[in-house]
Amino acid sequence: MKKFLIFSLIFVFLVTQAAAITWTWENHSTITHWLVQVTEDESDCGGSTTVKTVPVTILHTKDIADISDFGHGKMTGSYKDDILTMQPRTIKDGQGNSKLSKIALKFTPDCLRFSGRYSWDYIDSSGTCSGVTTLRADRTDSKSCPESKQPSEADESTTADPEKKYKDILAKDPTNFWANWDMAELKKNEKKYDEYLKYVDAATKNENIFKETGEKLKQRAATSLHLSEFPSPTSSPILRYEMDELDDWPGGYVNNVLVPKEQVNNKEAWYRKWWAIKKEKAYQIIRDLASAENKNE
Amino acid sequence: MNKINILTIIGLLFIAGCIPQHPDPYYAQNTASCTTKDCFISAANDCNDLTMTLTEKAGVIQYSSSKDCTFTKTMISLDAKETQEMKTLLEGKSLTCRYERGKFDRKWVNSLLLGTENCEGQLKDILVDLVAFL
Repeated sequence: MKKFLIFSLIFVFLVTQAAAITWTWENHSTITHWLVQVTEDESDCGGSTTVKTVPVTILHTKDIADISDFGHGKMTGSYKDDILTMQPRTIKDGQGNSKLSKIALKFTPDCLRFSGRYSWDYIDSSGTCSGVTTLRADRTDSKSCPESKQPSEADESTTADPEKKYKDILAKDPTNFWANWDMAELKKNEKKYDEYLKYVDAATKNENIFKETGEKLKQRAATSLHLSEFPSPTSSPILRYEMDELDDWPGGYVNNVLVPKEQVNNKEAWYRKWWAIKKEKAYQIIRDLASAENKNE
Repeated sequence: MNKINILTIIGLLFIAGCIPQHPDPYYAQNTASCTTKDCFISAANDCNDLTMTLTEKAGVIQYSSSKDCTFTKTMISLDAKETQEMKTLLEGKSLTCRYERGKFDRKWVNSLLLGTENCEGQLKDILVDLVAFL
């Protein structure tokens, strides 16, 4: 009996340790709330050191996180283990601009605190000065690390017949974005590419959801590519080249899907559709973005 | 016909023999070299060892093929109008595509986005990700 108890305790200990080791922010999509103490040293700018407490929300989408404004505007960063990094950027700041250094926020293993420090250079018509901002945050919405992602409405019957579930939804609402999007992924996995295209078409024509998620997609792309500003076909010759290529494309195969040439009235929707077919992880990326958005409602 | 005429004819024949018979530089001196995309595509289709660098609208791009039928496209430099961040993002990045002799995909040379499904490399992923900004 004694041996059984000892082995049971060891087993439980190992299981909990394994769970602790494998948990990372990068694997979760959720919303967290924090109270952030912001200490700003403006002494070089003719000011003093000020301390204020700001409520902050973080929208986690796997390795990408959107942080609400704690003093230098909303930011988006990327996770690597317990460190959330925002790339250097320049923002409008009052009458001038502030050039922020790279910001690295270190989260505690229990997911209840984070801290970080960054410098900034302020420039306006009267001159320049520099300062430092220190952040210390405490979690306010929970006493533990976030749970795994909750299943969404279209996922409810994954153990039953998902195709039937999606078809039932589409019978009542043919434009339902998630049923079309999930059905597309199902057909892609079955290598039924004609049907896949039909559902991708329907999903990407849903202006409401795909357009909103499109904005999140841009933010996510900017963060993962370390771009502080969105490039555009006007500002970037290579992006212009890509746009011209897609506009002039006569149709053809993309990832085994025969995509016909379209009469494009809505170019943005066409580019999004092309991206959805070309990008291998498009399904999961959109799912993760929307999962985090749903929790924000 | 006097000696001078004979020597002239021999000289002209000798010169004619030295002029390359193929205008396509691919075959020059038994070493593959190209300055045009069509030439490169033809040489790469035969899995020749060669490298070609072109200045295009997207920037300066290097195309390479090798005897083991591997194609590599490298972004050497972007247009001067690009931001420093875009240059940092793309310059030096490459993609690689493997193929069978006789089955080189022209799209790898003629396009930035098309035909790269079975290719690998940071350049491929970045170019697709940039479509999100259109």
